[in-house]
Amino acid sequence: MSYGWLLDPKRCIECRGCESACKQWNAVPTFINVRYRKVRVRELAPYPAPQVQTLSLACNHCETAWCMMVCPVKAIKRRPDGIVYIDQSICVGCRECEKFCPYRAPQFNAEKRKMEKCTMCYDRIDQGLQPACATNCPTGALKWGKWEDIAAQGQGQVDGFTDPQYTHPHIRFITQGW
Amino acid sequence: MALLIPSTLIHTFGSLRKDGEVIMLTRRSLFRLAGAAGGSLLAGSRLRGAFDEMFQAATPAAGTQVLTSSCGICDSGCGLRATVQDGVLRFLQGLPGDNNGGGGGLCAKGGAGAGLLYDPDRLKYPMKRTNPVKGFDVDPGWVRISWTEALDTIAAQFGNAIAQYGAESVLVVSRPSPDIWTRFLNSIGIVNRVDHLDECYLVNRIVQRYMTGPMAWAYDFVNSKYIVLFGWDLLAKGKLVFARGIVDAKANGAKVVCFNPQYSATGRFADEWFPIRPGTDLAVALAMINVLLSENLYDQDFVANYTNFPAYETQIRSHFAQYTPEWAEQQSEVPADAIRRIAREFGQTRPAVVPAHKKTLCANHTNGSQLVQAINVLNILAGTIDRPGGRYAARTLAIPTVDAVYPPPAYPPKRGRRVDGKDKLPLVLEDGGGMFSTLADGMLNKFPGMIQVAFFNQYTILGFPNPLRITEALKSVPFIAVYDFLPNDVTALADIVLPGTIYLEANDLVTREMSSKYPIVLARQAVVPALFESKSIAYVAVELGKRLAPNYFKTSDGSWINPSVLLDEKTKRAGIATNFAEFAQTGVYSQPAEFVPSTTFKTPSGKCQVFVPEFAAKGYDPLPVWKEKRDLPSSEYPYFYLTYIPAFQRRNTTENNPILTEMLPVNVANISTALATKLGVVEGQTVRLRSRVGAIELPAHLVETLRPDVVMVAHGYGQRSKLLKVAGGRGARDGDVIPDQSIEEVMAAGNFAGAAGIMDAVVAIEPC
Amino acid sequence: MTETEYAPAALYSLLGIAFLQSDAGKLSEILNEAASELDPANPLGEMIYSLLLAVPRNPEDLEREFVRLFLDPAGAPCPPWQSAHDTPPRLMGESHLRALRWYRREEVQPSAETEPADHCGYLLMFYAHLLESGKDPDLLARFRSEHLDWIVPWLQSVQTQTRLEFYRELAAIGLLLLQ
Repeated sequence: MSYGWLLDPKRCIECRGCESACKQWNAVPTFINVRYRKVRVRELAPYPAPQVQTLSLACNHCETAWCMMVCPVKAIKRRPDGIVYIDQSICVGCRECEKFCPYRAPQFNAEKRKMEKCTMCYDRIDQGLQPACATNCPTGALKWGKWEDIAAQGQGQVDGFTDPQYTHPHIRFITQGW
Repeated sequence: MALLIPSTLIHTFGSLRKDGEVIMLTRRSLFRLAGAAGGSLLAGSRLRGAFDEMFQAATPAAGTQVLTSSCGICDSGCGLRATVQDGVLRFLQGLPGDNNGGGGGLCAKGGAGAGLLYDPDRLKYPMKRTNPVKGFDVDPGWVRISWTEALDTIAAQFGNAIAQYGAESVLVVSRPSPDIWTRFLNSIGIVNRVDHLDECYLVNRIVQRYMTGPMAWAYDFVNSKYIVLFGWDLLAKGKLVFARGIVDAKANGAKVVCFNPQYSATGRFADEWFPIRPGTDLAVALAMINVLLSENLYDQDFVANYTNFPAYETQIRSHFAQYTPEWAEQQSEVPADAIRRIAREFGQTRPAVVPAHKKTLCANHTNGSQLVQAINVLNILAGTIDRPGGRYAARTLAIPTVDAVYPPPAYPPKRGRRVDGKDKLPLVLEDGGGMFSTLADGMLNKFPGMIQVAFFNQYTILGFPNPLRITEALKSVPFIAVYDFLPNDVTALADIVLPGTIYLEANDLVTREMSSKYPIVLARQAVVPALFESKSIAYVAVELGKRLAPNYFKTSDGSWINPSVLLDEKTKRAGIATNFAEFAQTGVYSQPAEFVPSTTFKTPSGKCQVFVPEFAAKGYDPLPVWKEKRDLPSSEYPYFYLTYIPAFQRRNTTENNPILTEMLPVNVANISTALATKLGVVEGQTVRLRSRVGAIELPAHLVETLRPDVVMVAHGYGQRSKLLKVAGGRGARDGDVIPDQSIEEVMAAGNFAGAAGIMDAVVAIEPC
Repeated sequence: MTETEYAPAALYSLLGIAFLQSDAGKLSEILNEAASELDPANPLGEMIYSLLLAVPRNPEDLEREFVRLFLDPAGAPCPPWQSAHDTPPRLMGESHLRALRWYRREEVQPSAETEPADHCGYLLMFYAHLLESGKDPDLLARFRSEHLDWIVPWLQSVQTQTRLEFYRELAAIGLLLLQ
């Protein structure tokens, strides 16, 4: 049994409730450029016919996690339910994982000199709750659930998102229009 | 014969000279010296007493509670669940099932509420200044005082000013607050209560009174099929109740058309987006009316039965004939054929609505009065006034006011001159709202020296256009009291500061004015005890009332009005629960009922009024006319200046919150890549924006989402106050380039409902 | 109580109370009593006398500086709550909850129920109480590392930021005690 994200970008209203909830729950430090979850806003086409894409992205807890593979001290581990996490007591802050992650999930905390990333709020999952971000998304743009339910929905990739064939990220995108 | 040991000695040398011998002071030697004294210094001494004073017997830990409440950061009032552990707030999430609020979610602002609650910069104790010199860079010399002393001082100041100079000498700059506060102000005959509503929904409220009856802002988006947005960035404004409405509308197949110089988050949701010339939405609205009329595409049944259109049909048709789509294209740069097509679609795709909320349509530009008037005509013609898919009067639960629970004696008449000049605008005068845009001019030019005492209730200087001018005006006020929870810029000018509670620390009843198709009330309950010595504005109202107008603050048995008893009474009399605490256990009360559309409307004629004879009687236009916005591009100031509020910011509650401010650490000058090329500006380069009243400097940010004659800046930055660790000195103050107004300017512009023009400015852009 | 823990209890307590309140009269009485209980030849007594003499003549001066240093609004360069030194700064953080647990184990808690429990004044006074109660060195060391170590840089900032001799001397004593 594992979990994943289901993103429906057309429903995203850029409220950043997901970012805020994550920061609150995980006590993520501020103003040092560490954000486990980020609403990524990209301009896709120029004026006078602009197109903008917004994607709320965190860690995709990939089945083939390159971060785990390249960590020289084996600080990055996987739970039985597939959630990938960085053991802070082992991490030495070499930043190799940062180089290899296609999704920029591991972030370097310049104060602690270690890598941090989204943990899928496994402490909440263990209590039968959803991750903080999905809990607070007001429009259902960001959903979390069992991967077996999500994997068949939507597409595995959207513009600007690395081809999932490399790391098998647990995220799907609803691309169907209104 | 004690030796004086200057600390510099200890500090520098860590040593003592005793009898000619230098002793190195280390921790060990310190202990030895102390040990040599003999006798416990703690037992039976004042230090022991001090310990007993500072500590008490422990009570058991409170454990974990989950409390239901309602967010108070914006008016969406989304239901929330607060997880509180041992008296400390740990997490805020949405209330599942809150379908006419956050839908179970919470936006960034609401989710980060703990950051406001536990902001170390919060005002904590009542304080008075001891340094008479006031200024942003001057140390006020604050000392703590008791609430009693603070209230006594404020009451004395109020009382003396009123006795000596009349009620007009007291300026109360106050946010809409619980009704007990209004009672206090009424009980002492306050004339100059001023709020920011001219920058907000004043125009809407005034115009609706005569055109559709009061139904400010509930929209049945889920059933709308055609939504036209003039500049209202529903999504980026961040009120979940509306944002979710648009998502619902789209999911149900609605078409959304967006007229906005910026391709905003809402633009992303729109089926069509037009980069309209700023301040010309009025032209497009007038042209749409022209098309609906000339092609008879309006809702004939509604118009015939529920409006005064039939009585004035000839005048109406002849009036709008001039506003052709071709004419509108010249003003707005929206192609005429698009305007015609959209108007046709609007007329034929039902239900259709043009939502108008607050600032964006009412107050962005000085032709807001006319724009709101035109939009009401559009909605009336579309037949969606209090109809499914349109704007409707929220069926809020009738909750007795304080005056109903404790009937007061007759209030004294309000005698005196309005410092903001709103008495020159009869329609504004009959409304309760006041005017920020004319306040500085009133205080400096019209009535210099009139204001002796000012009381600020939860406002900052950032809330004014041209903040430098209002600062100048306030500096000459002899006594200023501030009630707030964060020490923003106004605090630097205050004589007394009162620490206020935030929504997480106070109890209230929240009626869902923006979304009640049937009555729904949420309990906003304190999830933690009020921090330090913060108190609610209701407490302040009663305490000042006791001192200044005791007859208005007694209950029928002669005891003082008590805010929590008042809340219990309201809860009980509204039929919600026997008292507030009982209500707070479930937190939600509703009376589901079918939505029955109105057949009469609360206008003077009982019908929706397309033609407003009451406006004509006062010398205004009974039908909307074209007016330009106040400031137009010139060779000296070629570019339109626009502002916006990021979805994760809300005035005075979020700018000092690191989680939220990190999302946009400094505001920037957003300009199109085309404009940047023309100016020779690169990404990140500092530019100066200069208008006829001021200038700001900030980094340029290049985007594809703006017209090339526009620069757009986020509001809420540029607080001077060093008292705010996160917000202080951060970013540029957008208001510095926005002109304030004199009441004469407002009148001369035909701005009959007092629109503030809160982003009505043009600038030069100078690379630095 | 051994010699190394004994008398500093009074000093910790003194330090604590001086950061918790700004009543010049009360502080003078406490300092007076503390100094008079010491042998006049004892240099420690001189330090305490020196502190006593540094109490400003005008009590309002002390209150003003107390507010300016420790409480907003005034730029509060030296917020006295441990959580205010978290990243990001806040009130009622983990330190507050942990401090409460320490207090409760001794069956006490701060009298001011609506204020954070991790105010350095409470922590210092509580440590004095631990010392006086003869707790074992490991426990004392644990409390120091969890709740007193942060006070060292804080005292340094008090020294740099204050305009009053009183707080400079107080901070100097504190630094000697804690370093």
